[in-house]
Amino acid sequence: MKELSEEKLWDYAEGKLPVQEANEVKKFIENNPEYKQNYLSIKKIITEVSELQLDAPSMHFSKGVMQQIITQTALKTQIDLRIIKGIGIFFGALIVILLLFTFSMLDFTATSTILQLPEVKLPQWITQEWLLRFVLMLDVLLLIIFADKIFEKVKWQRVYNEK
Amino acid sequence: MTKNLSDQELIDAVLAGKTAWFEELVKRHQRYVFTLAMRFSGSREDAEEIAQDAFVKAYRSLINFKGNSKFSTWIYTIVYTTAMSFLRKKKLITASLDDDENPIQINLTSGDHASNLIENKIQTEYINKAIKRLLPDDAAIITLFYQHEQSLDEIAQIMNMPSNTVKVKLHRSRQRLKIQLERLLNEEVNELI
Repeated sequence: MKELSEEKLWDYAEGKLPVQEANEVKKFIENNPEYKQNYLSIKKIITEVSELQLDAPSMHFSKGVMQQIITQTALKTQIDLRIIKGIGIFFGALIVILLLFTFSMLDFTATSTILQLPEVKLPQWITQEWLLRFVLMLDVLLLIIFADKIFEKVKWQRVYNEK
Repeated sequence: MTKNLSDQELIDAVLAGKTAWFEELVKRHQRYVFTLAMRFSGSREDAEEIAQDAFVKAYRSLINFKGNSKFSTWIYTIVYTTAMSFLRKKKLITASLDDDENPIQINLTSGDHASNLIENKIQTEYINKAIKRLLPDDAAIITLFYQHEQSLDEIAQIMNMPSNTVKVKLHRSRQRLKIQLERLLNEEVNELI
């Protein structure tokens, strides 16, 4: 061996060279004091860097992370895409049903140019009282879903605080 | 109770609904994650922000962790990308001593005096100072390789680079660290004189 690259010297210092190559490097270093000096300083750097103490974050770091997760989860629940999609589908379906119902009532054979609005006849069982009960029921259902979300959040917060 | 569980067991529990157990994973890895973040930002405040962001992102993508790599490698990947976008936002990436097109040339025999100084006087304080003088990428590679005991392949995964590139980068980072140490020690000697 006539020359020794710095990279090989680092690999040797880290013990990553195959045995035969390591022996050659060892011999070369022994016969070349300037390389030996370099090797010793590299070895020292490796030892010191490996033994460096890790930095520690603030005392409440993990609590801070968990708090951020709770806040983001709660926010995500509030703007859950599934809820928005559900509302969209509900109103979309309502519009389609109303349009179908309206078109089914139209008389396409009429010859008059004056637009005659069809007389909408709702089924007899749809009374004003029935509609009121339906809307009330829908409100109660939405209230239960909302309350469930709040209780779930409170329960989660309690479990986290107890831990 | 959670302390005896492996990372994977904790992850499974978190995914099964025990969200609070994620805190144990945070406690286990926070020092490593924070140290890595420190290498990029250089300030404790920014490092805490990067580390916190990384853990929140990890929580949100936990379902995507398939266990193909160690959890530590996976979280360091998130720290790396978070830190890089943080630096880009703050424009903290500064010019290097050299670049990949014009690498530094080191004369092995010319630094005998400096090598001797390193061997005799090197201390933790100098290493820390020298690491702080490095570019974020160099400091991160050295930290991952020597302090976090990540293999070249794992670092390649973290930094999204081929293993060979990482090997070259690691070698250059080590050289730059050595140069910085030599400069630091020479500065000290000059001050004493």
